[in-house]
Amino acid sequence: MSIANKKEILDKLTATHTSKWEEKATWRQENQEWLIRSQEIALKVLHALRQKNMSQRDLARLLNCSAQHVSKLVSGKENLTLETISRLEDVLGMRLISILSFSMTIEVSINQPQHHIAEGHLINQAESIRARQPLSTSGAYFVDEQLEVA
Amino acid sequence: MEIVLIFAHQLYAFRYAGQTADELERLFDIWTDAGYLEQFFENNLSDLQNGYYGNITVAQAVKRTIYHARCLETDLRRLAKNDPESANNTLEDLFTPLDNREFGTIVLSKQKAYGVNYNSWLRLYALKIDPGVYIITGGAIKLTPTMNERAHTQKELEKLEKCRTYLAAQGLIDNEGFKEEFN
Repeated sequence: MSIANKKEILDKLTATHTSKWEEKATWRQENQEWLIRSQEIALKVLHALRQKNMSQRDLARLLNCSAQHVSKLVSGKENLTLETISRLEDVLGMRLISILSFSMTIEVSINQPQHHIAEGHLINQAESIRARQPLSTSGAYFVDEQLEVA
Repeated sequence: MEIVLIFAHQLYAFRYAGQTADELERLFDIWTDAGYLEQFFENNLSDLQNGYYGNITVAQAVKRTIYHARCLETDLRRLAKNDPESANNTLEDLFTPLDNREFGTIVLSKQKAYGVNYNSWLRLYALKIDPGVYIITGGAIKLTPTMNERAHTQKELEKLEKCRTYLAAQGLIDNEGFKEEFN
């Protein structure tokens, strides 16, 4: 069978609409940075649920939301608000993220070139943070992000 | 079932009855879903931790899967755009016969594509229509040496066969091909 004949048959069998895959793939690529953080948080939540022998339905009840909403939260595809993260931390009794405090920033400035502070940056280079972990005064660890997943 | 175009007379995917998404869309949806993956690896914990992939936790497996899916997806997008940075120049480089012993030209050959490298457990399964033209029938997270060891990979073998029979019935194999392939 010729290639032209096969193409003709394939064209007839093919639906008029195209796949949504490329659109979704583009979205995943464009939102990759926060998606990685969301996935990390989701995994922490799922691990905590298993440790506490809780179901997603139990979590939904504690959060006063639907099981479908919890399913979205733990998919790692939700752009979680600080409010949602705080509620999750509250009901699970654990920290999910920690944020650089002002005092930590001052401490970093001692060991790092002054231009970070002078330019008004609250340490926006991961290298600056990695260079001196952990912070002795707070005991906090910075893995490789400013917004650390605990 | 129906066939959905992915990109430019090169890559297609089946969409099965009862499913809202075609197989490529569905697979990347679940391969990037931390909740789905966590449950999958918990359900297949003994396969995950049987030693082949080393001492790995469920959380590590989830992150690894999402990373490999992202790499594979990036490569497919580059192929769709004929981007020279693609790890694979064409779909011919991405897909390989399902049966490692297959040689020569097989009509509607069953094919597989690995994740980012041969150590990845991600698989896309497809039927080869012509050189550079493939229809995806499904995919799997393959944790065992052979596909018929587990129900979820066995199902992918059945989908490949069902789709092949469907395409043959639609005339994508001529009489000569039928004689070669089915006799």
